[in-house]
Formats: sequence, structure tokens, C-alpha cells
Amino acid sequence: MQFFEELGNYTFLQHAVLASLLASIACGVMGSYVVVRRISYIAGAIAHCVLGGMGMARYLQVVHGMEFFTPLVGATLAAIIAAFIIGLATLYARQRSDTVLSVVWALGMAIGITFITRTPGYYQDLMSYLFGDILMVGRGDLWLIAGLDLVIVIATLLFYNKFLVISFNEELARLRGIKVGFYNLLLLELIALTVVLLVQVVGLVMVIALLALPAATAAQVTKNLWKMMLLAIILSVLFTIGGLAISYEPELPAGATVIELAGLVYLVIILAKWLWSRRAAKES
Amino acid sequence: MDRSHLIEVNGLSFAYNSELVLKDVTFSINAGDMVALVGPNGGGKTTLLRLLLGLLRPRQGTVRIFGKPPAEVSPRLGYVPQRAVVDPDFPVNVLDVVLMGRIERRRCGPYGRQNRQQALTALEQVGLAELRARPFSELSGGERQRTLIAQALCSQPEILLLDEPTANVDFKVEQMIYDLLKELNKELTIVLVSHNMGIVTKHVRHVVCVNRTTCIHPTSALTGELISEVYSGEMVMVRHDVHCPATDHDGPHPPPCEEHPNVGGGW
Repeated sequence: MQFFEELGNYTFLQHAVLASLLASIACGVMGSYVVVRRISYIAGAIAHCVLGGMGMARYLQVVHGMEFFTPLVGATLAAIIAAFIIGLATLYARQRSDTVLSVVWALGMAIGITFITRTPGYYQDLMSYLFGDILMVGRGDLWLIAGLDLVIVIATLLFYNKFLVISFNEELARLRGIKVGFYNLLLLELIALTVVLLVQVVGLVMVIALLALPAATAAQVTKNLWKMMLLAIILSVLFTIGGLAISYEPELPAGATVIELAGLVYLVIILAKWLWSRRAAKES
Repeated sequence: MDRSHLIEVNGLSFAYNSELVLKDVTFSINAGDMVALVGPNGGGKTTLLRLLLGLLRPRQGTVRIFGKPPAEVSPRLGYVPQRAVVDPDFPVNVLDVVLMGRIERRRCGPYGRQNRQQALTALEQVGLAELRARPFSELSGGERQRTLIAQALCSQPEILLLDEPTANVDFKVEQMIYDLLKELNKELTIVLVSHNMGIVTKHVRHVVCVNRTTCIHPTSALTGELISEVYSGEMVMVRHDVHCPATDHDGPHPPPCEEHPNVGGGW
């Protein structure tokens, strides 16, 4: 395959592979929480809101020469703020949380579009934010991605049991004196950071799919949260690197290919499981 | 305060919005008792249980458990939620679920060996030790309920509070769960919510009838035509015509309760 032959020669390919590997770790761990807690719509709202941060950062970079304000920094800030707003809304105004999600979703995109159209060369920027441009990940981005990964992994190792209890039975956690609001918010923030990583790989439109598909596929074969996380990491690596490799030679969009591969594997596993259970039912 | 009163509710009122769900509720529960909160749907049983647990705050009046507000003693309370509030597809095994009963605010990282031992002991108490590695999603309704009871026992509570422990299980499982609760009642005070008054009164010592306000009754054997119309077969009846005082259920019976709307237990 041309992709693997040229991997040794081009640093942009090496960066892309490294970014995929790093993003997969966060993706498998946080994607599992998103799937078992059934909150992929929250991840979707954060993902789309991120455009506001990216657009603003790009504007400040290009028009006002603030070089340090990369789109990735802007995305991180936007995601943290979005998760905080959504977290408070779902904590204190449960019945109206869908409205808040829609507002965060649309307002973030609106702010992003406004800033991007005020920035020279906006069309290409917009396309790469929406649909991903993993071949453009730079060395600085890689460091930030690695740092975010480290935060996510350490927090999960420390608070695995607490996240488990608040996800399974929030009232039990409250009775045992756990600060449920704090840990819910923390988990949302970690999911938001993961969204930021995945936006680099597949773009913000397809983030929900990449977050949910590896974990949902893993959930078909294991009934244990930490095993689900490990399996989801492995699947995420296969999907992202596989999608990159397949898309490289025919010059297909990498992000879209990654999602197509993940979606295909998920559907095949569901179908195989269904056929298997039918056969087992017939035999018995 | 009389030390034997483990739970004391005094002049309690509660509302979610403007309408009172519970009004001026007063009763007490002694140590070692087994009490059912019964009443019609929407009568406030579950709300009352949540007030006892400290998950809700009263509008007026007080709840005292061990002489303190519930929130201060919550580690000494074991809570078994309605099975329906728990996601049956959640990817955990039986031991994982039971271990959750040992969660503590200050400890981070994995549960130690001592906690695992505690969880195994709790599983043995409910007779599920062999299923400890089984995924929660593959359990039957009764096994799931017993797992949740083990989860509550795992934190070594002094009072066990259960919300509809026998909802949606068949008769055999129901019998098994009540046998288990009777066994646990030798060491623990038990408070449970049930909408099925006919069955629950066979198994508990007192019932608190909850329908916006409460009356507490002893359960004593009684047969009657009205009852056999409502429930077929042999029944234990609640003496709705006889009232205990709010604080002492075992003393001489006072005159009938006139306000009580539901003579004969036809819920």
C-alpha cells in the first residue's frame, strides 16, 4: 500500500498517524462513557459549538497577528465553556436541557461562521474545520493533543469508580456523599476535550460518529466497562489508521473514509450478531 | 428523644411545586422493626422514602434518623432503588454493582481487597455469590433485585430502605425476596415501599398508610368478606379501624381513626 511505503518519507504522514493514535486513546475511554450514558447528543452540541472557538482563533491569528491563538487552542476553550454551560443546564434545569443543547449547538456555529467569513482565505479553513484535515496536523498540535490525552487518562484512572457509580445510579452516589454535580461536570469536560482531539481527525460534523462507533461496536462483544474502553481504543486505532491508509492513494477525504470504515464494521458486527442469535434460536 | 425510635418524622410537609404531596406527617419507627409504606399511586410513598433518605428536603417539619438529619447519617442507610431506575444494559458484572456500595468520597483508584471481601459477604447473604462474574444485563429480574439489595448491604447499613422491591417479579421471586428481608430483619431495621398492600402485610410488622398524610397500623390477622372480595385466598389484614399512637405501636389500641378514608385495604 502506497500509504505505508511513504510513511517513512513524509513527516506530515507521521504526524497524522501519531495524531490518530493519540486521539484514539481518548476516543475509546470517553466514547465508552458517551455510549453507556446515552449522551451522544451532548457530544454533538459540544462538537458543533467548537466552530465558534476555531473561527475566532483563526480570525485573531490572521487579522490581528496573534500567532499563539491557533484554532486548536480556540477549540479547546470553546469546548470547555460549552461543556460547562451544558453541565449546569442539565444539572439544574433537567426538563429544558434539550433547548440549551440546541442553543449551544447553533450559537457556536453562528459565531464561528461570522468570524470565518471576516478572515481571508476562509473557505478552506471552514472546510477543514467541518470535515477534518488530519494531514495538516503540526508538531505543536501534537503536543497539545498528547497533553489533553494525559489529562483524560489520569482523571479516568483516578475517578473510574466514581464515574461508574454516578453513571449507574446517581442517587446511590449522593447517599454515599459523592459530589455528583462535580463529577458529572468533570466527566463532561473530559468528553469536551476528547471532542476537540477528534475534531482534528475527522472534523466537527463527524465527531459524534467517531466518538460513539468504536465504543458501540465494543459494547456488542463485552459486558464490562473497562474492557469496553480497551477494545474501543483498539478499534479506534484500526478505524483511523485504516481510514487514512485507504483514503491516501485515491485521494479520498480522510475523515469521511474513517467514518465509513467505522460505520461499516459496526453494521457488520450487528448483522453477524443478529444472524448468530437467530441460528442459536433455531438450533435450540 | 426515646432511644428506641430510630426514625422520627414530625409535622412533615412536602411539595414539588405548589401542591402539597405530603401534609403534616408524623410517625416513628422503632429499631428492629419491619415497616411498609403503602398507599395508592401518587399518594406520596416514594416521596416519603426519599425524604427519609435525605434525597429531598422537607418544606416543613423534620425527619430525624438516629436523632440527626438524614443527610448526616446517610452512610448508615442502605438504599435499594426501584429496579426500573437502573439501566439493565449497563456494562458491569454483579460484583461491580455490589462494590459500588463501598464508594467513598475520599478514596480514589481501585477498591481494595477488604472491600471485595465485604462485597462477597453481601453476595453470600443474598445467595448470589456464584453469579459474581455474571454480567448484570444477563440476570433475571429477581437476581437483579437481589444484586441491588447486596449493593445496599455491602455498605453495612443499620437501616435498609427499599423502593418497590417486588415490582414486576413473579410470585415465587416475591416470596424469596420477602424471606430474604425477614432474615435480614434479624439484624437490620427495614422500611419498604409497596403498592401491593395485600401481599406486603403478610410479611411486615407495621404499615404506614401514605395518602397525602399518614396513619400507622399494626398488621394483625383478620378475615372479612370485603377483603376476600378484593384479594382471593388467605390474607393478613390491616386493622384500619384500630390506630396506634404515632410513637408507640405496641401499646393498647386507641379509638378508631375517623379521618382515615380507606377501611379494609382495598388499594
